[in-house]
Amino acid sequence: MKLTRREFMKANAAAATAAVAGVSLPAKTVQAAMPNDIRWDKAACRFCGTGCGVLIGARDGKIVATQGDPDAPVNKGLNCIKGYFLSKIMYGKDRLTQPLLRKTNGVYDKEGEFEPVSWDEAFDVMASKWKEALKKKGPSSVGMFGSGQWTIFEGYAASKLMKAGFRSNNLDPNARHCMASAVGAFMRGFGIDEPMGCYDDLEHADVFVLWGANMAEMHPILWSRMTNTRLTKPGCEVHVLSTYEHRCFELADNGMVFTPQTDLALLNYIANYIIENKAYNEDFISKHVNFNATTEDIGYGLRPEHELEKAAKNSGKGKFNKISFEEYAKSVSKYTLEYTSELSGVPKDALLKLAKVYADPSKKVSSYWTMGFNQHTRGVWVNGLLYNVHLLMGKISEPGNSPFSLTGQPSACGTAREVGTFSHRLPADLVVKKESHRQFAEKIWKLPEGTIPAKPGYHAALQNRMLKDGKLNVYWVQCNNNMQAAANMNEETYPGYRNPENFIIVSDPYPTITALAADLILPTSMWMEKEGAYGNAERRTQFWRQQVDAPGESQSDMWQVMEFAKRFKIEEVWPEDLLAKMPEYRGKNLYEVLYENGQIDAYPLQKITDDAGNVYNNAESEHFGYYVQKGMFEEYRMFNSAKDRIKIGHEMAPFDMYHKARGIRWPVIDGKETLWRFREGYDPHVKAGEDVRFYGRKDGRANIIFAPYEPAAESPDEEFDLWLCTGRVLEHWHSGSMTRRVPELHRAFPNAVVFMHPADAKRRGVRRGEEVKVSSRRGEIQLRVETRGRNRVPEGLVYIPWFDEGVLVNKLTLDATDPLSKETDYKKCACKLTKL
Amino acid sequence: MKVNSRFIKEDEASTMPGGLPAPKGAFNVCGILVHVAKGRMDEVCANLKTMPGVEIHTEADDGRLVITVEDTETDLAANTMVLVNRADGVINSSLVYHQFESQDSLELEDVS
Repeated sequence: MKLTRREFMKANAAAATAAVAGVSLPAKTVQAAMPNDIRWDKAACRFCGTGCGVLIGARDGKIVATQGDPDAPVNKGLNCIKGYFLSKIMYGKDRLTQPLLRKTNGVYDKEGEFEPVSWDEAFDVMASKWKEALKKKGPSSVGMFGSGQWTIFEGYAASKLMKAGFRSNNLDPNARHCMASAVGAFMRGFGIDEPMGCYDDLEHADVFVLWGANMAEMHPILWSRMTNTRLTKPGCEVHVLSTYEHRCFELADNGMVFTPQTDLALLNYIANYIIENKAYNEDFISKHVNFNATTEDIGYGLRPEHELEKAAKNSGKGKFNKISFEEYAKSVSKYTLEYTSELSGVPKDALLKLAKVYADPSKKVSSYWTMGFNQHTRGVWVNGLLYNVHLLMGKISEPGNSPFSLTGQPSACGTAREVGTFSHRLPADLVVKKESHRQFAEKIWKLPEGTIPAKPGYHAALQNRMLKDGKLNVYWVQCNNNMQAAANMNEETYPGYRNPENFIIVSDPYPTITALAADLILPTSMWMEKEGAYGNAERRTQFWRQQVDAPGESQSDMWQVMEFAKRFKIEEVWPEDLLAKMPEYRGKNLYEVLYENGQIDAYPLQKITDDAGNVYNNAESEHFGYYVQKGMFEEYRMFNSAKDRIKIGHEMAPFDMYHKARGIRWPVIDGKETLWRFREGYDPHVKAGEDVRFYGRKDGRANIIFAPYEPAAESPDEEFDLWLCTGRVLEHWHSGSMTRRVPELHRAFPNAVVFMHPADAKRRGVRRGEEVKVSSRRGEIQLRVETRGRNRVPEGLVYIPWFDEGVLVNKLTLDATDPLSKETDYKKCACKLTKL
Repeated sequence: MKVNSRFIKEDEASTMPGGLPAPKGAFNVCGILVHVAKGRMDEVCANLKTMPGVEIHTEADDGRLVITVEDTETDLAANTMVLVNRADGVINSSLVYHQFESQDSLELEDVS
């Protein structure tokens, strides 16, 4: 049979797709789809926190094909539309291949133009700036902004460089913008981070409730699993809550649009309903739950001189106190059906229907949320209020009964949370504030006592403020686009980057607006150009091998961090009293102390192969002369798996196991993964007879914490009369720095639009497609009006996606954060829309 | 460098120093699984057949279609894929396979 390559490609595509569906194809097609010259290997998707398994097809050193991995338990062979980007994101035409430094007349100049330089020159200038800042102002003047898209190895290497090497806790990941509120609530409620359930709940639950999560567009594979359950399981229901109607409402049995911020009241109403009807699980709450109330009127995480902070009685306070069940019942009693319906705008019958499914002991309920809950000035509270509901009913930690926090980034869990790249954290849920935690880390890292500073560093929003104020002077951004992502760009982000006192370094594969606002750009290897590991939202750790080489002089973030460490003599960064405790480090450089420590360099170079015998490169290992990724992981694993570990429940498997498996969910005990935590029979940490034990907390009990409804930081008023909500669209991922470089998809959704209600448009005399001005107290943008389409917003609210660097919606947003989690609220501020 | 102009001219070379040369025009083929609402199979199939570059290969018993979508002279697979996903009667669609090759390798090579 003669076939053109085109027909051959089509036959392959049809055969792979039919195999996933479990159907057979006409013989002609099957014959056409023969094994070919593409080398296939397993990997994890580059985009959201779902963590789909993908097969990577490489030929002649390039990735030419991808397919959903049929053996991956997460996605069972499916991919979402974003899978289309995967083989293309590395080949954008403006990919950077050389370091670029701003120069005038051949020397560094902050006002100069970018010119290509060697890595040597780049690191020379960078190190001199770093040393100057350390000498002048000490470790608090240097900082780093990392990523939930870093591999686990990269995050670990960077954390060590900053916290131990430079002795600065000014390290925060962009996961601060995305997951910090979820983390805060896990720690307050359960004393241990990350969900108790897993994706298997998508098949086990009878009822699904989406709270501030547009799963259909943002987590399409999980949505497709839920869709299957909804369509095949008798009696299955889907409830969807949001501040506007999106794609998920099409499948919803009960779709509810509520006024922004009133989710706090909705959840308290459900708790009140459960108590009033005596539906709560008395046995469960008497054995496994404590009741508490949190400090109220806590401000909005703005600068201390802001009016709202001065007006708050308990600005920034997170303390909560034990109360009785009766006191808790009284606290929620204010949230009656009438009051809550009035406040939220949700009709009474819809609200009652929702409360009833939670209160019905025979129905298994899984709740899912993403940024609607997390990007919220009361994000920790609202996450906690949902746990309250599940805990009252005992609907937790078992198949189908699952409050589940979804993730937006591929390794927000694996890298940002588990490795502990937050400004207050260390690996495995340890924190810098606790002396015993610091000492444990110092022992593993073979460092003198007192190396790690006790004071938490600057978090994401604070880093921008400190850059602007000139207190943070040298700043390294890796693997994210924070100029575009951070709120209140005009007032807080841009001024700090261009502050003449500061030196900004950005590592990125592409000239993002963050890179272009920097002084030095370092070209970076991405995704399949390095061996990597991600941790997804269901505690699954997944590895991949380096599939292709990076272009030009690009190097991975980990290479950059380790190589940069060589530029510092230990005497230049540590004080004499610290050095005196370990004089054997005298004369060494930071690289030798941190990475050539007999642990990270313990595993010799080896030929990296798959089961079929294909051989893979490993750029970092070949450069440094040992198996770097393995060394990083095995040292990191001492935090969560060593016999004397401080916290149980984070155990991971040995490095080599992950290269064989399609991901493994921690805690991994005796080589077995854990699907549901805290319940006997599922979690090996819960002993026979204990039934349920929330072992993250000393008394084994979870905390129900009452928190009231408090208004948003900024609500519409007479002048700025619309709510502004920002977010993503299906076709583009986050700031679009990868997805907008695939020209055909760029064309599918080229520019951001403002989604608004037709009545709002009419009132302002604007038509669909017309260009308008949207402004807030902080800035203005111009973009086109969309009154139809997938997002149907209610009157009084507009939605603008943030992927478009030509329409920077973060010029409008307010940098109000949750005072407890320090996560920005991107979903609520006030704006107005005017005709041009 | 004008930040905003990156995609205005497709073939305009990158203005950043050290940028990679633009890749040659690529040809895309996607294998997609389409989940169709109960009782709407005929209507969806009729609609899909009008879409450029779409070929229906087979139908599973559970209401799922195996289709391929390829670039045509006027439409790119990526756009069509979005149309499929949003089509009436389509509950969900999932990309399973994606391959792209440079245009010039397509018609020259015979695979037997």
